[in-house]
Amino acid sequence: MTALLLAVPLAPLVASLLIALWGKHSGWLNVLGVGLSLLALLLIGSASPALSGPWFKSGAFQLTAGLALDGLSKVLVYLVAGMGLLISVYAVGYMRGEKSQPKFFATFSFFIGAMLTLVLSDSFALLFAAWEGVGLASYLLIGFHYTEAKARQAALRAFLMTRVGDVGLLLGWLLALNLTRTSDIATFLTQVNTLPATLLAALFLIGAVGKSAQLPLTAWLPDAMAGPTPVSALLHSATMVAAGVYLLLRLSPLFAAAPAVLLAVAIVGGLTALFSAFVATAQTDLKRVLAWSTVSQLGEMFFVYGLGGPFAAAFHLGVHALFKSTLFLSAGAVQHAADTLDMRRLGGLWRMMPLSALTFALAGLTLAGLPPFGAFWSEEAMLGTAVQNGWLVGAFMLLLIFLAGVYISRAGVATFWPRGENAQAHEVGTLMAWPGLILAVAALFGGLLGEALRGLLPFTLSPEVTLSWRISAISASALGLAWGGVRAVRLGASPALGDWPRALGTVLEGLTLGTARGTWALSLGLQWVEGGLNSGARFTAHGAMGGSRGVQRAESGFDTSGRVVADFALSGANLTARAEKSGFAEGANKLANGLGTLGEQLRGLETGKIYLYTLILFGWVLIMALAAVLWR
Amino acid sequence: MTIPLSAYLIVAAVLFGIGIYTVVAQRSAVMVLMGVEVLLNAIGLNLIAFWRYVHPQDYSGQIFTILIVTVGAIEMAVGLAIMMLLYRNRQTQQVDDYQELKG
Repeated sequence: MTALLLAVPLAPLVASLLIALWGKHSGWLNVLGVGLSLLALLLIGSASPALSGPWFKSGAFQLTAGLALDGLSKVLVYLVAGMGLLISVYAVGYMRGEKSQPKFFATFSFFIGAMLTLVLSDSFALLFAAWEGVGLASYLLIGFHYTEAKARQAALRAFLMTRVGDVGLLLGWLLALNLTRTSDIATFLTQVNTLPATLLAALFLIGAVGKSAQLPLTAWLPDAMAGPTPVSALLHSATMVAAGVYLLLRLSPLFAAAPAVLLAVAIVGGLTALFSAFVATAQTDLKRVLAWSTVSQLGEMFFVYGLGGPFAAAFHLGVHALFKSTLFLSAGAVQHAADTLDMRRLGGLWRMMPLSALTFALAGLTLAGLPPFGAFWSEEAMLGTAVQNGWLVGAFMLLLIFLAGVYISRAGVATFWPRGENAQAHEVGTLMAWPGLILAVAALFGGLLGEALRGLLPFTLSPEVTLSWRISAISASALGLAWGGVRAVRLGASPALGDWPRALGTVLEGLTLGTARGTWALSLGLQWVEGGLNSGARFTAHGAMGGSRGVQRAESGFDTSGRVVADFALSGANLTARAEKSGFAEGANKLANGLGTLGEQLRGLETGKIYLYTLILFGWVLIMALAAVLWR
Repeated sequence: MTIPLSAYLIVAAVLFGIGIYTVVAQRSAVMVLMGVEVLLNAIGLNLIAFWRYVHPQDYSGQIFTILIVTVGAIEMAVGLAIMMLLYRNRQTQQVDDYQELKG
């Protein structure tokens, strides 16, 4: 069983290595790796194996590394592996004909493997390693088209923005390690009440905010659209951005012990959800609409989590992953077919690509939260949590649902409605059409996910909503859909709620940049501190130099006295030299001459005949032996 | 019939004589090296014989012999390597041709 558990994250990682080494059939190798991982999961079934061991010990600190498949991680693992598989199949079609496929698929596989490790790991050390691995893989994938300056910048931005959050996570778990002496998450969570929960939770929140692109670290996610579409589909659904929410869910006992931070989570999430939903109504690039919508939906998850509804957040995380990756898959199909994602130039695509249009419509309706579709149930759970906190909060939630309807129906209608003249567009191949449709159907039945989650998650359920709230939610969503749709039919891709949300986008961008600038200023401040330290060091050096000058002076005193001694010695030496020249030199010459003559005579002995040498040797030994015998 | 110690000593002495003759009389460097090897083994035989007949309870004789065999093997390896290099340089293995240090 533990072998199967190990296989879950290792299969894609090994596949990644194989792809990097072999370089052929890379797409299918990737599918195989993720497929094996999913198969291992299915074989594990309902069991919950765990596997843990010490990684290394340092003094009193014990760093463990291990995998554990509990309820929460099971939900995420199924999500990551399942969607990873479908998106991998899609990617085989999408990347056909692209250059440097092995590089892409090796990183892609590594991305999935790292995310699986992240959700399975039972220790902070391994979780952090996987967290960074996910960040690295997303950097490489966003910057896959590295010849384009835009992609390079986006990759760098994503990497650095998330790094700001990662610092929070790093500080958080190092502090936890320092306090509990172990990196084991379960042990840490049992001791929450004895720890400074508020500080720890705040640090972990920073990490989650960075990874899930919440305010103020939002802008990297829409930029990440520069990557190939399968990457966006994966990045925006089950991997990467889900990691932040997962961290919150995993550490929910800690956050429960820190109500102030929980409130901060709700405020951050709520503001993010509202602002980015507005921005999404004004974007003209299809993928950017979807990206801002992801930010908004993640914000909703943070919001309800902060309001004390981890169950609703987890539920929506799952459903959102399903429909959002579906939307991205059909957006990728649109790009393949029409060569552009600019909604002002798109339109009328449904006749050319009915499968993709159907996929988009199903997923879009799911996103809007209409009754039979998956997100209706998860949004109802979220609404339940919100209403619990007062009717104003509930109304806010309704506003978010309305906005979601507006932006998604605007995007869908502007892209697929019969208008415009994209006659050259064509339906994409099977490999690209079907994974999306399967995901769309899965999203359709996402409501059933709630039933499954009920048994798996340790969280209390969200309260039921009253009939009037339910009707309001449905009508908000329907109204939003209608509004967006009608605006798009009448005015095409012009912003659904006027032009001002686009300015809001700039503001959000500025906010992110501001945060980055702040970090920059902070680092400059550090430089200043360093400068202070430097001048201190210089001062010390000056002091030392003065001291050395004193020493120098003392030395020169020694010098003079030394010179007197030296003069004396010199005169003595001169005397000796004179004596040598007259007396000893003559004698030495004679001795050398004598030795030279003797050597000339001895040369004859060196004959160069080895047998003579040998005979002399043995003869000498014989003589010595005889002498020894006779002596006795 | 037990073989007396003197028999071993005679064999060893004969071997030693053969060894000396080989070293002295042979012109080929390889043969000279083989002569050295015979010498070493003659001494080894002496040691073993004396150990067996004089101090059979003390194993230092055996140990010494093993040392001699080891030294012999190493000497052979080094010697042959030198011969190889010399042969490569001179295309000859006659010891009389190596006379650079002749006085």
